[in-house]
Amino acid sequence: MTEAIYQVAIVGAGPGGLAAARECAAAGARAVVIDEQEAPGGQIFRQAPRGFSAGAERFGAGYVEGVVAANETRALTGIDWRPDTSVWGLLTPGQSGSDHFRLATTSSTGLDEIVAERLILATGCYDMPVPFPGWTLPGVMGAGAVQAFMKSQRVLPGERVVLAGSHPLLLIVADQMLAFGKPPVAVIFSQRKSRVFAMLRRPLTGLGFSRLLMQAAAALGRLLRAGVPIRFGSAVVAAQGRDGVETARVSRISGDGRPEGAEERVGCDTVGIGYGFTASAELARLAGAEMRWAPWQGGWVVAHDDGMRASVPALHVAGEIAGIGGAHTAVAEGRLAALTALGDLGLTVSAPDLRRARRASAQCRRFAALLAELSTPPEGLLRSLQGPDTIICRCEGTTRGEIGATLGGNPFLGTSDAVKLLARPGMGACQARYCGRSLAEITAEVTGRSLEEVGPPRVRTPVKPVPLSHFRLPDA
Amino acid sequence: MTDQPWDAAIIGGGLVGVATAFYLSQRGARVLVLDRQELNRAASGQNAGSLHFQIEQRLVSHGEAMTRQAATILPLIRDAITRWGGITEALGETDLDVVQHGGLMVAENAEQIALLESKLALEGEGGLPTRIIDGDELRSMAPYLGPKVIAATHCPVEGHGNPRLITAALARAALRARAEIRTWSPVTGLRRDGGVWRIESGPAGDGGARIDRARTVVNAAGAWSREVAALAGLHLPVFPVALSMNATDAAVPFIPLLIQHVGRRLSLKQMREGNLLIGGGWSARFERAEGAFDTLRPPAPRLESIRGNLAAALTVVPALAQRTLLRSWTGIVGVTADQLPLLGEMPEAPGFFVATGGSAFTLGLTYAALLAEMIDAGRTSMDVSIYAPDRFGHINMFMGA
Ligand SMILES: Cc1cc2nc3c(=O)[nH]c(=O)nc-3n(C[C@H](O)[C@H](O)[C@H](O)COP(=O)(O)OP(=O)(O)OC[C@H]3O[C@@H](n4cnc5c(N)ncnc54)[C@H](O)[C@@H]3O)c2cc1C
Repeated sequence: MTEAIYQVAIVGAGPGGLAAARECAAAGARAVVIDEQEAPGGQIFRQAPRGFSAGAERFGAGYVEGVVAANETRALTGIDWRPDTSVWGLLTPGQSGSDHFRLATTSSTGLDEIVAERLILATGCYDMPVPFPGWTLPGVMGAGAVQAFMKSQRVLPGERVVLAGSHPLLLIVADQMLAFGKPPVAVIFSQRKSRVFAMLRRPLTGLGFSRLLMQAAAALGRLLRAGVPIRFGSAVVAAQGRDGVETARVSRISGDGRPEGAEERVGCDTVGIGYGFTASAELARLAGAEMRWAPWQGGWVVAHDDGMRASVPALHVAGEIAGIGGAHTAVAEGRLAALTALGDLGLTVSAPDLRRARRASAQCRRFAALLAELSTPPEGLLRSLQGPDTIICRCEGTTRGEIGATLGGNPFLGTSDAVKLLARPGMGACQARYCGRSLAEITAEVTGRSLEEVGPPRVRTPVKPVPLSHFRLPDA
Repeated sequence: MTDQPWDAAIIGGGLVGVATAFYLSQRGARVLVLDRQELNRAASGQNAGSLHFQIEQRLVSHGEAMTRQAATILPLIRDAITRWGGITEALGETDLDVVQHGGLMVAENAEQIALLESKLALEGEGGLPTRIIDGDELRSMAPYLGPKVIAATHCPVEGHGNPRLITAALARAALRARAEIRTWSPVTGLRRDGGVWRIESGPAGDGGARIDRARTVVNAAGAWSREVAALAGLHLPVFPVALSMNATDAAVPFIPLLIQHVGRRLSLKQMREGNLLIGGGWSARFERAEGAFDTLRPPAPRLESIRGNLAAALTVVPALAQRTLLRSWTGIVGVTADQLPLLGEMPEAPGFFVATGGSAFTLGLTYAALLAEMIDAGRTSMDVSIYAPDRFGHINMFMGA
């Protein structure tokens, strides 16, 4: 076991965690950065294995710069790095019965523990899971996963890819595929054309600068010139195939968010779904941090003050888990969280730096709110994609109909955690990452209670499954 | 709604409270269940689900006097054995994951075997069918046990119930028998008024507290029984204890038996879906609020407990090394001052009944059935006077509703 007590532990080496690490290094604080990946950069600057780095320029100049910056941060002195390490347990100072956080970790070398005075969580997000008929077929994945394939392995997950959803990331992924020489078969937006174009024009009309939207607008131009079919006001309503997806069924979307008219079948071997992102806030929830329901900004996200302090003493958050906002927001908040944490530790923090960080974070958040508004699918659409036989929990195979029947037969249920216990959605290996949101939405719909009242299924230790062999005593 | 008082108002929607509602409403009584949260959200939904009938490790390891005292619950155990056996059918269900394929309490050394032998004698006197086995017989019965296990006592009727399922099934049956269940209704006041109990429940919203009247009150608040008794002006020596549990991912069924350990804190079983539950009385840590235990929040896990519990499990069943730890959780159970059940009417408060203490998952149905007999018929089919709360009369001498 490690004896050192860090002043700051940072979980997540994406843009937010790295920005925090740079501030800690600059202040000379004893800090440690923990990440599941081998290389720093997080999702956006996800790196290919060493010796595999050719072709990075296809992801654009921003990606190359980001990777370089991540590797530079990694080389900073004074910061300990724990790559390939996952945090499976977390005790706050109140819970550990000491003055410190205790983080239980696993890596290829087994179990370890990290002790720290302050904790900065910058644990990012993942593709928002959207259940629809056929979504569990091999080949159906999140649009972010399509992108992760390209970044980490420099290959596409399939030959004929359909991208569908409501988030501008779809355009960026399609554009990167184009650079790979394999553009998608179709890009399908659920919003109407006028709305998407309005959203892409807005950053240029004096509202300020949003790099993501600029990028998306440029991507749209290139895709249209290359003749990539882009549709609006439509959605993939089902995926079909024998051993994997072979057909995407596409339907037009009515004004009230329901599929209408004849369906069209689009042949494909991959469907990338992008309606937005879900905050990876499991550790914050485990710590008991107060959460906020932000449906189109990450689902349950961590409530915080203007210094990125969560409701749990000495716990700070940055980036997507405080509300989806993209890499720039994460960087601004990572800096701010670190500066506040360093100040709270009694280290000297320059007041102008703190002011600037606060201003930058606030500005980023305004754009994040705008982006969320513009990338929201038509209301009611996602709900209307689910039929009674649609699987909601892919680990346990629980369908929407089964969840509904459990609620109907047990009128005393009122929270998604209680439904989980009876019908088992969320009890599998993914710990409700896939089904938590849908389960809560169904529970709210059937019981007539609010999302806040039904809540998400409770997060348990370990937040990621741990091999039991790690717990064997040497003599056993 | 009529102006008639309820026959019984039951405070607490865990296994004990809901089962009492089921048995009473089957007898035709009009009952109300009140819980401050949803049903089954406290110990009854958090426990290990062991139907353990052998005298427990926590009791045998504290010397002979304690073991002998523990043996006094064997009459209740005998009732629980048959009651669990018939509960699925009694509730009109098909599969509640109740199995009684038998259980082993294992030992790793001579000292532990001696403990097994001393409890075995008492179990025999109490009519529990237990015997000691070792060698080839043990290996062929439980080939998955590790080499360190050298002997075990076998009880053929032990097994497990499923804490996720039983309380809800009881509640459905109670609802069919016209019981009323009110969740999110913390009881905040209890008073006797003209021969009936006046029960105040919150939350005190726009309409203020809600008032119910009942001929009898059942305190089935588990670890919170002491607080509920205090609402009626009485002391009840029940103390909250925080425990932890672990579950693995699902495996092909390979452990049909309940496994316990006589010298270590370990219980182990495989549930219907294939997941293995690992517990055995490892502690968790209460959250604190203003210097006191905060029993309204789930206790925090202790990493040491998780590690210790899993290490013990791996010694006893080495094949567990192929599994992953999927979930750990914590729960709160109420322990009585003398570890014996508290079951019966409080003499200082006529019509105020309590049922708590001990392993109230294994014994919960039995407590409930006995309470229903007391309330409905005024007497019980077996002598349960030694569990009556009047043994703590001395601490209530100067109290009273
Ligand atoms: C981790 C763990 C493992 C265990 N393993 C086993 C086992 O393997 N076998 C076994 O036999 N036993 C086991 N037990 C013990 C067993 O779970 C309990 O004895 C049993 O569930 C108690 O049931 P209950 O209904 O009395 O209490 P609970 O299930 O705790 O229910 C009490 C209810 O009262 C409600 N309440 C409290 N105050 C109020 C109020 N003022 N107003 C309204 N409602 C109120 C609470 O919300 C709660 O729902 C274990 C316990 C734990 C914690």
